[in-house]
Amino acid sequence: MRVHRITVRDVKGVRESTVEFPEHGVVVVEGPNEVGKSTVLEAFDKLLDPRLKASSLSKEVKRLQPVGRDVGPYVEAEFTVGGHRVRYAKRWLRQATTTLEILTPVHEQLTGEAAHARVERLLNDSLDRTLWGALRLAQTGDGSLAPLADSAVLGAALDAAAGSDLHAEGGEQVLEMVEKEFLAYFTRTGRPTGDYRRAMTDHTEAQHGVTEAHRRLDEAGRLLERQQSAREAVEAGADVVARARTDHAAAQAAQVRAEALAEAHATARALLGQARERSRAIVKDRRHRVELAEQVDRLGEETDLTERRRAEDHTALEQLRPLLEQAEEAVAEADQALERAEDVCDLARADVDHLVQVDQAQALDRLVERVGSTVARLVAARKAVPARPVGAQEVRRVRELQHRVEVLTAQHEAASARVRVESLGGHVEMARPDAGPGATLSLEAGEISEGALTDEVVVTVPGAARVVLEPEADGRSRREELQRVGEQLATLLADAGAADPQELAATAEATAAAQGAVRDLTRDLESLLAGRPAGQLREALDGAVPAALREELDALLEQARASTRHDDDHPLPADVPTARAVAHAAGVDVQSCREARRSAVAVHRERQQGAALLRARLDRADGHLESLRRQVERATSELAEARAVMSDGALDEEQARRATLLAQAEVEEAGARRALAEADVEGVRVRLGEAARRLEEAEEAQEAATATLHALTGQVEMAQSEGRSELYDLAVVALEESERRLASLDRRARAARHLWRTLTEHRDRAHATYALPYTQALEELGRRVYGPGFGVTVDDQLVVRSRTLDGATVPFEELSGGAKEQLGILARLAVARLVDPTQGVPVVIDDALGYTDPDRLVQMGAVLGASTAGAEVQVILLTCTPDRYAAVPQAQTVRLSA
Amino acid sequence: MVVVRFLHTADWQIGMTRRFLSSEAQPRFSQSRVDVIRRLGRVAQDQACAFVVVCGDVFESNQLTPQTVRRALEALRSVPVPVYLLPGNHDPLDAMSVYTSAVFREEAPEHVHVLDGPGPHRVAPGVELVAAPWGSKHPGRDLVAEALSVVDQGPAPAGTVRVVVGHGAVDELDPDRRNPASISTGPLRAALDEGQIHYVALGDRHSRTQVGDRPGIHYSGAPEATAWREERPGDVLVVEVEPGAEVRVTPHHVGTWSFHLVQERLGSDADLDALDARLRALPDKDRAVVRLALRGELTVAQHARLEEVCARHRDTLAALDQWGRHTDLAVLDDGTDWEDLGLGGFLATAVEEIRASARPVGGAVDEDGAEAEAEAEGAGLGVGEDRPGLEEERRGEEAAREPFRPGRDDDETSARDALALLYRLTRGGVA
Repeated sequence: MRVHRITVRDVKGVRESTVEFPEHGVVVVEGPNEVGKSTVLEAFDKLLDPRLKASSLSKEVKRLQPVGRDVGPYVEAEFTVGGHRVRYAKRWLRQATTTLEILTPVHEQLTGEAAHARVERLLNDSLDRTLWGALRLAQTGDGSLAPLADSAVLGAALDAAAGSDLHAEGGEQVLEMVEKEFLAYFTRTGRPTGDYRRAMTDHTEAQHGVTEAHRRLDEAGRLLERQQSAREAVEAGADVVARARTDHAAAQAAQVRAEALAEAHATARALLGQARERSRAIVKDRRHRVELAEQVDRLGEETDLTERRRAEDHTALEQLRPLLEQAEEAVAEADQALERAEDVCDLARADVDHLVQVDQAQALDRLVERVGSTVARLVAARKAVPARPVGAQEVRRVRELQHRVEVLTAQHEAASARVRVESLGGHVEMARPDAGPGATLSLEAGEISEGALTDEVVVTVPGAARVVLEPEADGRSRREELQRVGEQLATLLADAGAADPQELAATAEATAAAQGAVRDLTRDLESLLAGRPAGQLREALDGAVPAALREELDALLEQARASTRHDDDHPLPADVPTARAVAHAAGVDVQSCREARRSAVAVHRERQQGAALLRARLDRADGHLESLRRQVERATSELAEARAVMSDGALDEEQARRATLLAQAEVEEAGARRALAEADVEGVRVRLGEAARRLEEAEEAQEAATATLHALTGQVEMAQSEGRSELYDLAVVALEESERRLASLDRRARAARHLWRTLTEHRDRAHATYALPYTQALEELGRRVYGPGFGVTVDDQLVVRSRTLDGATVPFEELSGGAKEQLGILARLAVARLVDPTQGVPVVIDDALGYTDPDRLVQMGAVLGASTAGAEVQVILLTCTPDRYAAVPQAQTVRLSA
Repeated sequence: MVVVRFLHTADWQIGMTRRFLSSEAQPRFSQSRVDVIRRLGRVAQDQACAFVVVCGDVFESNQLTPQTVRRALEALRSVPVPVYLLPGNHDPLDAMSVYTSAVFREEAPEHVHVLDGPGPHRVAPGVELVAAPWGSKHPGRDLVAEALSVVDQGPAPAGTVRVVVGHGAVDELDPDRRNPASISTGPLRAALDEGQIHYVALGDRHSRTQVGDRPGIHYSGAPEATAWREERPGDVLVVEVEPGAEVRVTPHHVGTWSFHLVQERLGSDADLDALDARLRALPDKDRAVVRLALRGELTVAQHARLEEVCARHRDTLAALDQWGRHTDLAVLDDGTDWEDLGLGGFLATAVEEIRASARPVGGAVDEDGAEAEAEAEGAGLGVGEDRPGLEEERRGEEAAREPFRPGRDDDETSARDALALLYRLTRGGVA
């Protein structure tokens, strides 16, 4: 395709603009931003878009309309395509029109739908839209090319360049269809999918269905066989049972015979037992009669003996009775004597108690009296203690201080200067200011005052002189010491309330005397009241005779009064010792009386026991005799009765007869036993048991076999009712069908797979072959810009994958924006140079190389120029930067202005 | 004179399945086997038959689903005359017999009787059926001879009509000469001649057949066809016996299914047109089972068309398959077809490669036909349809059969199919 002219009117911001393009070579369309460079190309695209008829109201069309102006956008272009040079114009939206004028080779003029259809046909036949789209580098593009492998024009060109014939007209379209077919059966990785996969699953299931149905059918067949075997087993078992029954009946007959013999033996044994029993009974009767007679004799003898012994005991008891009475009287007498002695003793003891009480009362009375006087003295002594008691320590301290004052005074005076003032005539006053205001002395004419200068002394002679005498420094400190000690002494005395040390000493003496008296009296009270409750001592120390002491005295006096007896027969002993002697004598008397009584009681008890023993023996003898008499009576009557039934002689005869019968029975029993032993009862029994067991086993086996047969018959019926044969046949039908379906799908799937694999392989090989001439063309251009170190790798889809520059290979995506753009332009130029000029399309570069440095720009310009020189290539460069393409030789420039 | 007229049929094969039928056609086939009972019932009524006798293989198997048995019994209910069923080799009176099953016992209509003992059964005054029922699949002896041995010697009493009812291959048609279960025809002919019996009604052969030159011993054939190569299937016989006179046997067609073996030589578009027309002309297509035996040479384009024709008819026919052993179709690929399509570039080289792997072309055997073929060989070839044991063997083989393996590697077949696919995809015209 060649573009010759494009005119736009009322398109977007452009009122009207026409761009003329040269036949070939580079045309630079220059103009400021917004002037409509891109709009011209966009309008041209819309004009060629088969979907956008003049009547279209689509958004894409509406976008062409200028904002705010209700006019129909108009595009007209003159171009050559497929050997036809045409002028084609469209107005949309308002007064929509389509006009076509074919200028060469045969003139035609068409309008409306016909014009649109004619152009569409022309473009479909002769415009490679893949190429048309690929050779444009839009403002926003990064330089990468759309995949070029689908371009038929390029394919044919590359085929030609490679000297091969691999390009297929519509090959990609066929491959697409084949791939669609392939993907109906397989995933991209070649795994079955969709219906094909389902058919496989169904087929596998159908196979399982047949296997299972066959298993069940087989099972039914085996069941039938087992049932037949079971039936035969039941029939065979019936024979076995019949034979066992015959054997069992024979054994039972033998058993009956053996049982008869056993019964005969049992009868003989019973008769023998009976005979033995009778024989034993008569022997026993006889023995009993002998024993009975002996018993009667023995009992008679025992009765006699017992009566003799009873008589002896009775006599002894009679003799004992008076002795027992004597002993009783002796006990009574001893009791009376003891009572009397105890009375005397009690009286004597009471007297002792009484006299003791009287003594105690008198002692207590004395104590009360002494306590009373001591308490009175204690009270007095306490009163004698001074109000402010002074201790010996205080006295000692005062004495020490007094002594120290005296020593200090003497020292002071001895150490001080001496003053001697003598009034010679007039009045002289001598004052000692330090010693106080009163320490003033007036000397009248000639008086002399002499002393140690211990204090400041002011001697004033009125009207004449004033002499101040100051003691030396040491004298002052001594004075102060003296003063301090004196004050201590004074304070001590004042504390003690004494005017002077002598008074203090007197008070100390009084204190000591009074306190000593109190201590002595306290000790007296403590000893008086020792052993008594502490409360009584405290009470006494507090100054009162204890009340408890008095109460105790009163109580004692009362007791003594109460125990005073008035019996003139027995005068009260004189004193306690006498009374005690009397009481002791009475106690001795009581002891002897008690001893006498104990002896009497012992004698009495001994005789009593003897009598009781005898009486018990008499009682027992009476009881025994009674019993003996009853036994004699019973035995005698029993013997008489037995003899009445059978006399002793008859008894002997009967015993002999029974012995004979017993011997006979023994013979008979031995015979029966022998017969039984010969019959082999045990053997018969074992044989019968064996026969019974065999019969039972045979019957059980038969029962089991019958049960098995029944069970199998049930199973057979069950299997029969399921229709397993039919189900199997149906399963086979299902398998057949699923297999048919699977086989049919499988044929199609494998065909699609075979075809797809082969076509893909050949297509890829073709692409790989194409890549070489394309790579060469691109590298040839690139070396002009970058030098001989430039190279590229191109994949089989004709996409540039990487660029190599002086040994460094960089993937296309990682190149800088400028480098991508440059490579994009070079790739487009390479394609444009490769394709047939009549089928080629313009290379359109919209506002590119903005990021290209000036040197590179010059080289790119040179390449742009060189690549178009002599080649039938149309290159359209849009730019808003006037000098960007200055380096392109022989470029024509079209300037657009607002 | 007494004249007895009855309807003779056999081999109903209720519950039969055919593996060449799709799961959609199989139920129709099964239903037809039941429906035909009603039609033959109407024939019996129209022809004033006294009863219907079914000579064995009433049921395809003893182990049928209750549903199948019930449907057959329900159809039998509509037959207006007594029906006598003879157990055959497919439905013998063994422990699992369908005739002793609960469903049959409980639901068989009163006028339906099972000839369950060998020897004469008096079914009406003056009419005796001498039955030879099968008690197992492998009797190992001539059951008909055995049944006849208990019949009184000498001619039948006056006024008595005796009909022998048997099942199995007669000796003169049995390819296995030593089969001990073959029915000896000699004694039967003698008995017929003597007047001891008057007619021998047989089952087992699905083709309607008169045994020998004279009427008297007949196979009625199956009332609905079951396989290819059956001769005159789909009939029942109306038999009129009059002692002393020759028996009169009249066939009546009741079947609705047909089996067609289409053998054609193909070599041109005209041959394809003829095949298409022939298939199109088949009546009752939904009950027509077609097996193709095609020979000849076809171009790629013609072969593609053949496939298309077959696919079209397969939709309407009950079944359409290729008889592999008798199919010999060569696809000629001299490249002209491809030149016509004008494929260039890598498409051309790819086609070349595929064509190379598709050679040598020829004997385009449809492997799927193998099993169906076995069935066709075994059934309806004029001999005992089911030799004892054949059925079990077949079932065992089916269960153990090598399963179909999908997705095999590319080979001649896939290459040929790939070419056909490419042809189909590109024939529409590629720009």
